[in-house]
Amino acid sequence: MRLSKAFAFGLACLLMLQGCRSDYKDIDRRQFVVTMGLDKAEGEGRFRMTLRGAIPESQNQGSSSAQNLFESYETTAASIGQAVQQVTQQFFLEPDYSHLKGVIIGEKLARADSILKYVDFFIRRRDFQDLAMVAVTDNAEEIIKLQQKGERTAGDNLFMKFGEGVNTEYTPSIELQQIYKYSLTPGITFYCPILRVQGNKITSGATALFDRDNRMILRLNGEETKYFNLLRRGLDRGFIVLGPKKQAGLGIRQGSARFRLRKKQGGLLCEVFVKLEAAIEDSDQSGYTPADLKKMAETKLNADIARLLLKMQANGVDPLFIGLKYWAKNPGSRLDRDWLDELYPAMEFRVRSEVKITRSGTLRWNNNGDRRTK
Amino acid sequence: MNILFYIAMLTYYMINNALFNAPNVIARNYLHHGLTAIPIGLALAGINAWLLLSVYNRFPKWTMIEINRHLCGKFFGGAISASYAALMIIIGFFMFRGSLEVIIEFLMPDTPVWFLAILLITIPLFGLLHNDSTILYLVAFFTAIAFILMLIIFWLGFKEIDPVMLKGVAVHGWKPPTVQGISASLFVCGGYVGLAIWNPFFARTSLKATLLLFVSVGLVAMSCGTIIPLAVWGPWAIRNLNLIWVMTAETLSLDLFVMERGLFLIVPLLLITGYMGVLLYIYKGYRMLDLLLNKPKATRIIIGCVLAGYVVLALSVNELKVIIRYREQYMVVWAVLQNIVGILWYALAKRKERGVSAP
Repeated sequence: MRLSKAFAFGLACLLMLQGCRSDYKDIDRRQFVVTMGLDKAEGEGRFRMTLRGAIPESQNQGSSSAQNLFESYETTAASIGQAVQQVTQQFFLEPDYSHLKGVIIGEKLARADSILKYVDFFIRRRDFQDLAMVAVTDNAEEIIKLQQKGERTAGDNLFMKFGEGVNTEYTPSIELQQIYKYSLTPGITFYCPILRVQGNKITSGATALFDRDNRMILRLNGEETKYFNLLRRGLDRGFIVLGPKKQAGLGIRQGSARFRLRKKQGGLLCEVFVKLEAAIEDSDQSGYTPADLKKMAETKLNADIARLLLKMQANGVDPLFIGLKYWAKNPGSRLDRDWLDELYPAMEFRVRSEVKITRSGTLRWNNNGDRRTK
Repeated sequence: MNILFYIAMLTYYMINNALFNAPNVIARNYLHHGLTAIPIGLALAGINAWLLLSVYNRFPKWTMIEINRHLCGKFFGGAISASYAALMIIIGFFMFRGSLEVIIEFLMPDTPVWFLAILLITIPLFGLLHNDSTILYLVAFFTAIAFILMLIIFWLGFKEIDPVMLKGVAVHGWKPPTVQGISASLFVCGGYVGLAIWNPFFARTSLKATLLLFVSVGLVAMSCGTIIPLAVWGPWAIRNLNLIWVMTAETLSLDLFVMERGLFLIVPLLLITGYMGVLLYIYKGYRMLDLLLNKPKATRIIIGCVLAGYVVLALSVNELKVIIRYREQYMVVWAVLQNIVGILWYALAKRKERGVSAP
């Protein structure tokens, strides 16, 4: 018993000692970096890093305006590790990256460099969240410094755009850890949403596609982004314009896509089955029966999706992971870089869409044509 | 002692090794060797448990030391017992260094490693001051917590699974396994080695309960522990990860009070199982030496030197990769010895049964 007490006392002494060498800093001595922007800078391999550091509420007392929500910091370097160390000089509180929720990469940098070297840094460092969202923009600094009306905590105008706040068919979200794993998986390529500042607001509506060397190679517009999202993960909201003749359209209630790959002479056939539940929302279409609208929607979807698939194929990118899907279903297959060189370029696509008009909202739909004639 | 303590001991091994040991061997080598090691290892563990338990149950009042002496003779039996004690002490070091790694990387990166090593070594030292039943109560208590944490982690992990990756992992998982993979799988179910010193507490141990636990907890924990990280990271990216389950937990987003990262759930689980592992292995090594040498002072001096050796070695081995590689080799040696002893004991016990009557 005496031995036990002596031992407990010794341990207590040791526990007290550990405070001497620890550099633990309390929350009021830290500044939380919430978003980071990386833009191409002058000089080979150099980039400009912009950080948005949230100012804690306790240090913002008496300020009723939203002016003091955050402070931005900038530095230029050729290595991300160097930049993170360099920018520390500008802080008076310890920068804390554990709440970094968004990494924005300038388009010029994404096109010039492999972004894997930046992503690798974030994954390797334990203090960065692997869950941070990644996006591409034409000017990252502008997004990081933008203060938007209604922004409650620093950076929420940015990271709320990826489903936590608003949910749109125009933003294909992707996290740091996903980029890391997709870039290391042979035969597939990845994507990022493209954001831009428009009238003091951050808007989304395009997608950046990366090649096998993790450089941005292709840009999808808003319409293509919508179909890309439909094929990638399905949609639970959205809108299809039935044009070109008619600019009105159908509201999407639920949409999903299924891929079936079959061997055929001279290569592979990729059949894409798109299923969509739609609702009539525009009264402009009252001259058509639901059967007409269904047919128009299916024709439109088949043509647009096939065009998108061929565009990605022509650029040698596979952000829909068709190669991975083929590997997952065929025990004898191997997924390697040959997929993008041999099988994928020779693949034939066939799109089959099925649209079901399930609802007409709180109003009845006149199947016989124009309601005004009744 | 109640069978629940035996179940807790087995379950602890399963949680600890299914999350922090088997994925390092099986998931990392998935592309070349698939998942076949899991059922093979489990079947081997079942056979080995049947062989050993039938002998342990024949000598319900004896520990491994006495059974070895009775069946294999003083010198050969002593050598087997000494090998087991050495294996306990060696795996204790791997657990010790692994737990230390998590603390260095995720909790206290700026605190000197020597200090952390000394702090961590005090836990088994405390254990040595207590007796068998205290240790078994402690194992049961922390296993219950670890089990709940494991279920939460698995449930969150399932939500992050990439269905295409999962399908691919299942389709391509049937390849010839490696000895290392089978050993790692066998090791997950190896909790019954605790009978080496605690047989008198549990005898007659139920073989049915043991096998049922292998299938219900062992197989599920091992499959989830290996397949979830594979389906989350993919077989290619997983090869680059140091601490597979910690990195997998990093991909899980939470909305649990103040917690928003899955990391905050896996670190307590890792510390519980890691610390308990260090305590348990060192205690078992100590008790085996104590029974073998029958000289308490000498045993304490040896264990003191071993613990000091842990601290020194922990400071000199910095790369986790090296520890993982040595642990793989350790598990092969353990599995070979375990199977040889199982067959030997069973054969010798049968022979004795015909000749000499059991006590």
